[in-house]
Amino acid sequence: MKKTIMISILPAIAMLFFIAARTPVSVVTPAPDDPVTGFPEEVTVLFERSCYDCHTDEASNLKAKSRLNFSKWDDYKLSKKVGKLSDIADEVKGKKMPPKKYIEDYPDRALSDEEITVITAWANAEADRLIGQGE
Amino acid sequence: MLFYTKKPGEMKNLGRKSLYILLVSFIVIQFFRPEMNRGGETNAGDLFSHHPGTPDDIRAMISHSCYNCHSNNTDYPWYAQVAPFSWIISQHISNGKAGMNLSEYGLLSDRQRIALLDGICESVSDSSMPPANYLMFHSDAALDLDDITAICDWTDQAAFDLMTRK
Repeated sequence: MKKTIMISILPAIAMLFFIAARTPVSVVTPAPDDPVTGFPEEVTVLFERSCYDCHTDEASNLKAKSRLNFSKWDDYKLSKKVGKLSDIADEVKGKKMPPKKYIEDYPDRALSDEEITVITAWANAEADRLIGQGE
Repeated sequence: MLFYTKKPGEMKNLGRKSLYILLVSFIVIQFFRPEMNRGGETNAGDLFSHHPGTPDDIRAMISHSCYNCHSNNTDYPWYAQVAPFSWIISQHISNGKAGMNLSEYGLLSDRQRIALLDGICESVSDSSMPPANYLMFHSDAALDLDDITAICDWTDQAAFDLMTRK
């Protein structure tokens, strides 16, 4: 009898774990107001939609925030800004960012090919401009 | 229902059988050897050949703590010859090189080099590098606070040099 109960309960428990794993952990937070000054409008719009959720002070994703935090952008020194711009260009172009998992949960936050080009072209040009500026 | 208990004699037999199977599989998997990471130097030049002024202690620290997974030349421990460790190690190295390959530093643009240098400082500072599973087997690759400060001072300087060179 006990065994029968166990056998019937186990799959139910397994199912619960499965459902829990499929449910996105973070509750959708409204994109925060533009924390960065000085980015062109067409880029800011894309960042707000596809990046700010994890890469600003309001984000709960500590790792993402520690790697790139747009809220702290103005505090970054010049060479760090260049490095981050370069990473933004390469990761967005290589479709590593936004992460697959995030796009699965929020398909409307994916970047189109044109949008990727907008970000990449701007980030590379901005990085080169800052390098020219020296320190 | 769930557990079917064997008779003692049957149990002993089963134990011996699985031991044989284990031993044979262990021998068989030794024939599947991953390619060794021994690419030598590239024409592009590695990190230090592009920063020739790098002090010896920084050179030694980065070579010792990072180059096994982040270059084309791994200094393998003996157990790297034994499957399945050889597979795990090979996997770690290709992941490491995909993230950053210091042997191919010369192939990067200036902005990418600056990003890489900044990334080195960031990842050693938050202890994500060298990774904990690597340090379990290479305790001498651990970096203390002084090492981390020295590495970040150097990466800052190297990035500054790239920012200001004409």
